[in-house]
Formats: sequence, C-alpha cells, structure tokens
Amino acid sequence: MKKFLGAELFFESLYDLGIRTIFGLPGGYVLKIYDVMPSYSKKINHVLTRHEQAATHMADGFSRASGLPGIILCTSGPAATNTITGITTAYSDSVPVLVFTGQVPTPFLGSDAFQEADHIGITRSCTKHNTLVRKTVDLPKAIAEALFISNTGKKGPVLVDMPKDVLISESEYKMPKEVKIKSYSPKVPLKNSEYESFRKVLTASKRPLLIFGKGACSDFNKKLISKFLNKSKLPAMSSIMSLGLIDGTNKFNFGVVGEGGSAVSEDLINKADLIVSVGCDLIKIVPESNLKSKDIVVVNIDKANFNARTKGNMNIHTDSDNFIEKLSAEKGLSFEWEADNLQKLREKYLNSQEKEAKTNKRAGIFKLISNLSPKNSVFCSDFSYEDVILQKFLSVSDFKDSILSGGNGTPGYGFPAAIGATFARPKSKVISISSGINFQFNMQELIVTLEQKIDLTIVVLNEKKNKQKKYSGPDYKSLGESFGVKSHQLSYNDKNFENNFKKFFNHKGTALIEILI
Amino acid sequence: MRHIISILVDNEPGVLARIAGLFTARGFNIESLCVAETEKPSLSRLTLVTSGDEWIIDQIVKRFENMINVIKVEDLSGEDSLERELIIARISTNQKTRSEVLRVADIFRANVVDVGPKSYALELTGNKEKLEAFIEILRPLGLKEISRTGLISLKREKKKITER
Repeated sequence: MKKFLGAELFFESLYDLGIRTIFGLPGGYVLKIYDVMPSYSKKINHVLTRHEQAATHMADGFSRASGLPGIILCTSGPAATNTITGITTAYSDSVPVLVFTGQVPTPFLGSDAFQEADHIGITRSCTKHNTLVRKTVDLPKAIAEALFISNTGKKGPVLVDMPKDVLISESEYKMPKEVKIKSYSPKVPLKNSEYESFRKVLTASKRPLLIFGKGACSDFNKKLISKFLNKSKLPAMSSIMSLGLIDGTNKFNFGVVGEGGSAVSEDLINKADLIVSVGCDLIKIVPESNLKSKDIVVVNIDKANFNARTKGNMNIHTDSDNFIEKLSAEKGLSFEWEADNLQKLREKYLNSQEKEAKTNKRAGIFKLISNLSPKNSVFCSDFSYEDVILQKFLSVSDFKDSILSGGNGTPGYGFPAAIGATFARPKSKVISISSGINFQFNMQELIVTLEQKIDLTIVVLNEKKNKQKKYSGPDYKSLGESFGVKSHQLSYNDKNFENNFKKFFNHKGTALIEILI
Repeated sequence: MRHIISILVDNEPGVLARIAGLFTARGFNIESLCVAETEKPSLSRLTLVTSGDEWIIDQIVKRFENMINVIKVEDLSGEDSLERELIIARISTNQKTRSEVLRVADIFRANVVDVGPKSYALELTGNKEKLEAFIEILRPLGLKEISRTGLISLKREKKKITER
C-alpha cells in the first residue's frame, strides 16, 4: 500500500471529507504541511491570513454563511494562543469550526520547548472537544472524528493538535468508512410521550408564543416554520442569532425577541400564556421576571439549557428538526389570539422600527445598506450593545445572511468573518459593517482582500462623541489606501450622503467606505 | 447539599481534567474524587463528592453528559447505593497505649497493616460516619497521620449503571 507523509494525510483526509477551503498561517511545526501544499493546491484552497485570530473568525464566518464546517491551520505556541478568541466566539455561538495546530514533536511534549504551549489544556474549556494525535496512522481517523463531533448535535469548535513528528513520518492512509464514537450519540429523537404531553399543554393554552433561536436554524425548519405560522396564525419571534429564519414579510413575524429587539417583544410575552422556545437560550435574553406565571416549554438538544430556575416548565430534549416537523404537521389548532390585535401589534412593531431608523443615525445607515443590497447579500457586523439593535434593521431572507458574534460579543469579529463569507458565497454581495474602534482589532486583514481578489464592501462608522471636536482614531480612508484598497470617505450630515453612498456602494473588488457620523 | 456523582468515562488522558475543569470554572470544591478502571479496561468509573447549590449541580451534571468521553452520569445522592471509603491511619504507640489501640482496631474491625517499635498502621473500610468516628477515637491515643481514598459508590442491585 502506498505510504503518505503525515502532512499529505492531512490534505488527503480533509479532501475526502469534503473540505475545499482552509484558512491559516504557516509556522515552524506545520512547515511540512506547507511544503506539500503546492501538490494539493488544486484540491484545497488555502487562504493566507495575517493573524490567527482573524483566520479563526474567517473560518467561523465561512461556516455561518455556508452551513459547512470552517477549517483553520496554524502552528503551535503563539499561533495557537491567538486562536483562542476565535474559538471561544465559535463555541458561544455553536459554530462548527475545526482548528488544526502544530505541536512540538511528541518526545518533547511538556518540556517547555520553543513555541510550546499546552493547546489541549488551554482550549479545554472553549472547545466542544479536543484531541492530540500521537501517531501518523491515526491522523485520518482523528480528523474524521473531529469533523463529525464538530458538525453534529449541538455544533461547536474542535481542536486537533498535531505534533511535528506525526506530520513528517510516513504511514498508510487508513480512513474509517464510518465514524462511530461509542460515548457520543448526537442524534436525539423526539420521545412520543414528551410530545404528547406538550400537545396537551399547547391545546389547553389560549395564547401561545413561539420563539426560535439559533438551534432551530436549518433549511429544513425554515420552510416548515413559515408554512406553520400561516396555517396556525400563531405569533413568532426569533433571537438576534436566528435573524432571517422566519421570513421578514410573514404576517406572524414579530421581529427580534428581548431587550433592544422588537418594540412589541415585551407586549407579546406579557400577553402570551404559553411560551415555546425552540433552540434558544431564552433565560439569557428575556428577564426572568417576565417569564413568571407562564407555561414555558423549552425544546433544546442541550440539556444544560433546561433551566431549573424557571419553575413549572417543560423540557423536551430533542433535535429542533424533529420537533418542528411534528409541530408543523398539527392540524385544527385554534387559539384566542385575535387576528386584528395581532395585526395592530405587527404594525406597531414595523412603525417603531421605521421611526427608530429615522432618529438613530447608525440604524439609518443599516437600513440604507439593507435597502441598497441585492437579495441574498451577507451582512457581517460586530456585536456591541448598540449592534444588537442595529442588526434588526437588516431585512435578510435567510439566517445565513446575518452574521454577528453573539454570545462572546467579540470586537473585531465582523470584518474577518466577512472575508470568510466571501469564500462561502462567491456569488453574493458581502458587506462588513463595524465601528472604527472594532475595525481596528483586525484591520491587518485588509491585505488579504487584495491578495485573494475578493469582492467585499467594508463600511466603517467613524463616530464623534458629543463632546469631541475632532474624529478620533486613524483616518480610515488613508488607512485603506495605504493597503491598496479603494477607499472613500463620506459625512453622514452631507446633503448628498445617500447618493454618494449609493455610487460607492456598487463596485467590483474590495472597497472601504468610511462614514463620519 | 452533599452530592455523590458517579461518572462512567472513557479510560483516556485528559478526561479527568475536563471533568475537574467544570468545577473550577464554577468556583466549586471537590470534596473527594476516586478514579479507577472498571470491569472493562477501556472504561473508568469516577466517583465524585461535592456540595453546592442544587441548580448549579444540576447544570454541572448536564454538562458532563455533553462531554464526548463521558458515557453515563448519575447523581447517587438520595439513591439507595453502597458507599465505602478506605483509610490508613498511623498511630504512635508505647507500651501503655499499644493494647488500647489494638482494642479499638478490634471494635471497628480494622486491620493492622504495619507494625513498628514506635507506631502501628491500621486499615479500615466503611462509610463516612464510621471512618470519622474511628479517627475521633484514635486522636487522643496518638494519631500521627492518615490517608483516605475518598468515597466510592455503586448503586444497589435494582438499577445498575450500564453503558448507554
């Protein structure tokens, strides 16, 4: 049987597992992989980044925009520790990301060697799983298992640590036909008895409210949810992380749940007597006091989300797909939501959104960008308190179109994630919107946009606080130009702002638009 | 409340660290911890004693279940289960106390496992209360040092912890 180097097995395995794009940066202990890379360049596209954190965010953005797993390759020590922010971001938002790190040769493990760090120890609390490969022959199996763990059940990042000697030794290529891990069964079927008792609660309730989170985001669910809402005439809301899951034009979509979300979020929750939360961490976004004296049904694949603090609730441990499939097949449901009242609430929600977009400058810019963008554009932004509100002004038609760092609130996430998204969706327009401060976290990646010749619109909001006379921070236009990126500067208060923005917004290649607010 | 948590895990490096990590992340203390191979060499049973808020323990147990290398988790507190701990105690002796120490050992059904001119080492198995009583009785007789295994536990026959 033909023998391969560990480095070759790395590419062979990834290719056979369906991976076509990886993000990374070379370094000492993974040089062998970069040595053999030219012979695999037609099979797997490697995107050279300038910082490992950005590489992780790119893979994360790639994954969110495509639904496929994102892959990162970097060396040990400083490179691996740089990925931690990105891994934690992916972990908090359950994004399937696979991190491959180089490591000192196995005989030197734990000897404080050059560029050695205990990757397994460091990432233990921010990965779904991590593993150290000790033998070359085990590498394909380890990669297959890592991918399987990362991309099934409640998804999440997985780290595979590859010592140098594993990469430079030879072995046969042994890929298991099927991945089976004894102690891990990601599929959680819906128990009939659990669904039946839920059905009783549902039919007995007068005004149920449906709340969907990121866990409910799948193409399968998206179709069913729209149909079910129209049929059952039940109001529904989504979390900020699952924006786009419910069609924005659906009459029963009431926007984003929680503080800073839809204006009717609290109204609806107060009126409802039953809240059905599917794949959503409800307790984190809705204050506990609002949930008291209500029946709450939590559907989640992760048992840790079943909160013991909200008493009297019902927990259904299953895949959201199973639950929604069964729920959407329900017939003849009738409730006490009055159609007129609901429509009034929806009008209130739409009007307040409209009004906010006029009074809040940043919201206005989001709205403008959303209006100018063609359908299926991908929007990436950073998370800050203000952005929670801002993302809701985007009218997106799919949950893969809105990308932001939720649970971890990583500053500087949006821009590299947008670069990643361009590789996932080459035909869609990709827009990165961030504040100047956040943009600076990963601005070194501007060079990547040129090297890779991608189409990306970067909007940087340069904000002057009330008492400041001058705009603080760098001149982003000159900054972009120094990287060789076509850059423009606009003032929000300018009369021709909208027209000028429109002009710059339609472009080929990468463009940076700085907006002075 | 005191909880005895029994966890069946893959016998692999790193598993114990992952489990202990969940406790440190919450600032919780582990009172005792016992790990050893089971009837299958590929599996280990881990018995852990801790105390804390009910809902936090509940969360921790659920998070254990999410771990890839964890096969089965059970909270044995309140369950009908067997609990045992082993202790080895060294007691300094002289001609006067020697017979008294032996008598205590006899009462508790402890074994003498080491004898020297200046001390005895006793070995005793039992539940927590028995061991504590044993220590209290030995203390005035010249207890020098002790080593305890920590609690191990197994459910009584009705339900057995089996693989998933």
